[in-house]
Amino acid sequence: MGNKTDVWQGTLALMVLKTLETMGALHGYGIARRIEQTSGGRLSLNYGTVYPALLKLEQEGYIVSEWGLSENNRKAKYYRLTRAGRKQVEREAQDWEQTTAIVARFLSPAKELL
Amino acid sequence: MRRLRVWFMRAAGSIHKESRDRDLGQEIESNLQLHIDDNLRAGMGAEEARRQALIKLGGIEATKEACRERRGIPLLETFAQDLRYALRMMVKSPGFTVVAVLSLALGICANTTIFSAINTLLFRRLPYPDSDRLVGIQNQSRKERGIQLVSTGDLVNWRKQNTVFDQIELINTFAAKNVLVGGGGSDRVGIQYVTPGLFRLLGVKPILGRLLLDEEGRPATVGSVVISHGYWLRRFGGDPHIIGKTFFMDIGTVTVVGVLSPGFDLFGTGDTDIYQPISAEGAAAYQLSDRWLLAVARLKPGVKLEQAQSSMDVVARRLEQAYPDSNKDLGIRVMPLRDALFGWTRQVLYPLFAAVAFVLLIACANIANLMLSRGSSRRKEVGIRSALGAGRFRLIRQMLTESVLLALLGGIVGLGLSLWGIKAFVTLAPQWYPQAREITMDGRVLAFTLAISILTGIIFGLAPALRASKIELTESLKEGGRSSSAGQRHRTRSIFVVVEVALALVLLVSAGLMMNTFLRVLRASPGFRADRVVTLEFRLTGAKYLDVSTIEKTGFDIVMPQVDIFCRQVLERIKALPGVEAAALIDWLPMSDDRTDGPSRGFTIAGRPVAQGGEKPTAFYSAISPDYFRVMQIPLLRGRSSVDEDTYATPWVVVINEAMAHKFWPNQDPIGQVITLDTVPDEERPRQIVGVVGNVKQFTSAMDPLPEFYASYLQQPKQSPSSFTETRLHKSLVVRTLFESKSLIDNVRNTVAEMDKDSPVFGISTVRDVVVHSTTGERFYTQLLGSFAIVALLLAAIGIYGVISYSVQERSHEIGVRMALGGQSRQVLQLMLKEGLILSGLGVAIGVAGSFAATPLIAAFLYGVKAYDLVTWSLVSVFLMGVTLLATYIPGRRATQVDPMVALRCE
Repeated sequence: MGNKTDVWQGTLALMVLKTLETMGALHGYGIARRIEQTSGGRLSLNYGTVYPALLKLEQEGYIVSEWGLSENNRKAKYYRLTRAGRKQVEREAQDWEQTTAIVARFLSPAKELL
Repeated sequence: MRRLRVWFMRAAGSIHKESRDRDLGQEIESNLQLHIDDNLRAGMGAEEARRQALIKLGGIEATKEACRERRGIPLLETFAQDLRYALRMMVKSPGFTVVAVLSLALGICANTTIFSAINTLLFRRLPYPDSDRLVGIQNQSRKERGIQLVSTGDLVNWRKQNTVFDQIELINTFAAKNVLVGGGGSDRVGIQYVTPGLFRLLGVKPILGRLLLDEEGRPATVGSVVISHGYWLRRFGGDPHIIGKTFFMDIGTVTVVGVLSPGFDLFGTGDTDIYQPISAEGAAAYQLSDRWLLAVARLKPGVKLEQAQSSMDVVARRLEQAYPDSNKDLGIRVMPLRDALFGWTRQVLYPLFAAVAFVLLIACANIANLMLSRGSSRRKEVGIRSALGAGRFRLIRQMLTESVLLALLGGIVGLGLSLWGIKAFVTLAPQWYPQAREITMDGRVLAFTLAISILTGIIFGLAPALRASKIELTESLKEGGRSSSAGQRHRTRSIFVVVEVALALVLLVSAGLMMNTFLRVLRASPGFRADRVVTLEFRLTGAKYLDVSTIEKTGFDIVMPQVDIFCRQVLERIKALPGVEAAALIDWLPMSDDRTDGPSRGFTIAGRPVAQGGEKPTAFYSAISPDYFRVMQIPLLRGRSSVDEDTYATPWVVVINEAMAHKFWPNQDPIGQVITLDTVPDEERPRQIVGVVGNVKQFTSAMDPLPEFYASYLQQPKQSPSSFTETRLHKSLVVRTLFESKSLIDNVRNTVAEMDKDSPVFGISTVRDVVVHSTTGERFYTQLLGSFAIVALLLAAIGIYGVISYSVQERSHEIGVRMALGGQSRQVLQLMLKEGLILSGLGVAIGVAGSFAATPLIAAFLYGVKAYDLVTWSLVSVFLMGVTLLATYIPGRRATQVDPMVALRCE
């Protein structure tokens, strides 16, 4: 594998939610691009993969969508967080931090023991 | 909650699919444009900008498909898709569909019909409240395991000693015949004797009047009876004033106190007109061994059947010690009431059920074969589907959808056919078949039909689906490709044909054995000559024939001298008719249905120790007039027959049959031996055996004759225990005539009928008809098994025909080459016949093995043939081979007509 990493599905949902939290309403293309940017170019994703993820989040009621106009006057579908979505970002972020902390402990056990 | 919402949204997503699809398309398109705009701004050329954006996006169609799957409920949607496709396929090949649906319908119809019959008797709840607490109680010999009925004495003991039943009542197991006089006629009626509480126990209500009261079961009460709804309509035209009307029966005057609600018919034979109370009180010791009734009981709430059984086991042991004479080695069986009433029909119905299951399996194998051959023509379609990314599971599911849909269609048609099937079953069913008219479809039958339809769909669909989905892409997509899996497919089809032939053989063997039995029964000698013998029955009725006033004191009725006088007059008058050769009387004509007393009389043999309980010698017993053997042409083997000179005053004698001589005097001359009957101990005299006659079959030609002995009607005790009274007053007249003529029969009938208006005359027939009538059971079984076997044979023949014609079609190229190289058409035909011969030969071999397991199931119904009857087996095997070879020959001949030019060109 190169230095660009593929995104796995579970984390993609969190990234989408987090992106919408920081950026406000955004279209699919914008979300995908923003995720790549935020990763500092270390993540690479097919933009197509965000659409199923967006649909799932919408079905779960974390985001809603509506058609609007982009900055260069193109029609685009905009997504934004719902109240449930905001709560979900917090919850997921917390879970994620916990998980990574635990995994980190496993990866550097020597230090802890000393 | 969240999950629920998702599914709701998904379900909603299944509708308005097109507009949602369009919406997604627009969204992706607009985002793509945004991307392209960005790329342009970054300085790419228009072409390059678009290309890069598309690459970054990934496969558009895959994305759309992923969203589509997310949006709806895929399983449901693809199911709808499969269903639509399946329907389209069915419409596209109507020939296949019709053949498949029809053969399935036949199989399912047979199964539904037989299951309806089984369901009615063995699964359906009895129509009485709390029916799961109703049980039947019977005695069971510990030694012979045989079920024995119950006496009034048993009832008294059980009521006293049990702790598990709320209520125990008695009823006799068949409708005894009697006569009801009054209301302008005398009428042969069926009577059931019941303890008065039985109706309460079963929750049966009267629609007029009231039920029997407990005190009406006591000996000293006037006769109150209730009548069945059917009899009320038939005899009294539904007269609303019937209650309180009085009639005359043997027991004296009887009063109708109630009419039962319609539909009450415990044994389902529909021949009970009158319910007469019997007494269980003051049952004397001798009544303990007089076992002729069935006990019906209700378990106390919460008591399980097993508890009741073990509790009654204890009671049985206790009674055994208290009454060694009558209860030695006698256990008590508690069983669900339904089993006690109808359990015996399992023996009749389960073999039929196995037979129809075979028919259905053969139909399955047939359709599986049809689908396999269609599978090869659909190879390309399947190839394309899997090239486009259909998974194996998906392909199998789609094909199973097709086959299950087919099976369900077959099920629906089959269900319709079985409306007719049930009617046929009811028509064919012999008189004794219980509740034939109650056979209907209910929820359970529908569920059964649905279940077997789906199951058959999966059974016949699975193999073709598995085979078709296992596909080599490159092979199948090649134009005109000769798939290497063709050979394999052919092998599967051949296996199916072998299975079909094997199953058909098992059915044919069973049906063949039944047919053989039926023919033998028809041909079998009943022990007498039935031609030119006219018979009728009469039943002497009235106080001048029977005095019941002593029954309370002595336990016996008194048969009046007028009976003998009447009998002598009948014989005299009949013999005087022109065309009559000889005439005689017997209590009951052999093989007639109505003999109502116990089949046999106990007796003791002079000079031998008196045996106890079940070991006591018993045999059939008939009172006859002297000419009986001559009229029936029953051969006198030794000694003399009873003669006119044997009267009440002279020494009493008996004539025994061969079976009786053989059983009780195996190495001894029975003539001169002396026996004494037990029936009326204080009046019966020792009887000397004076002759031995040939055996006569008592019930049907299919049953081996039992020991029987005969005595003159003039040498009978004046007294009679009430259970034998009917036999004393009922007589069958047999008249040997010089020629068969309708007017002679009328003459005989009128002569007897005119002699006493109150004594009904009935059952006018020829003895030959009586004999034929006694074979209805065998005919029923032969017809059912026979028709199933014919269907099986047809299906198997169609199956083998299909395989061979397919083989011809597949090998037309090879055949063409052979013919082009100078092959004879005879050789080609031989090639095809060989294939058919191998298949059917294998099938027959396996079928023979299967028959060894199957035929013992019907062994009980066979007569004159063994279950392993070599002749039947080989005839049936040869017949089946012949049919399959014919089925091979027809398509095989077509192979010889293959034009080599055409065959080679079609490559």
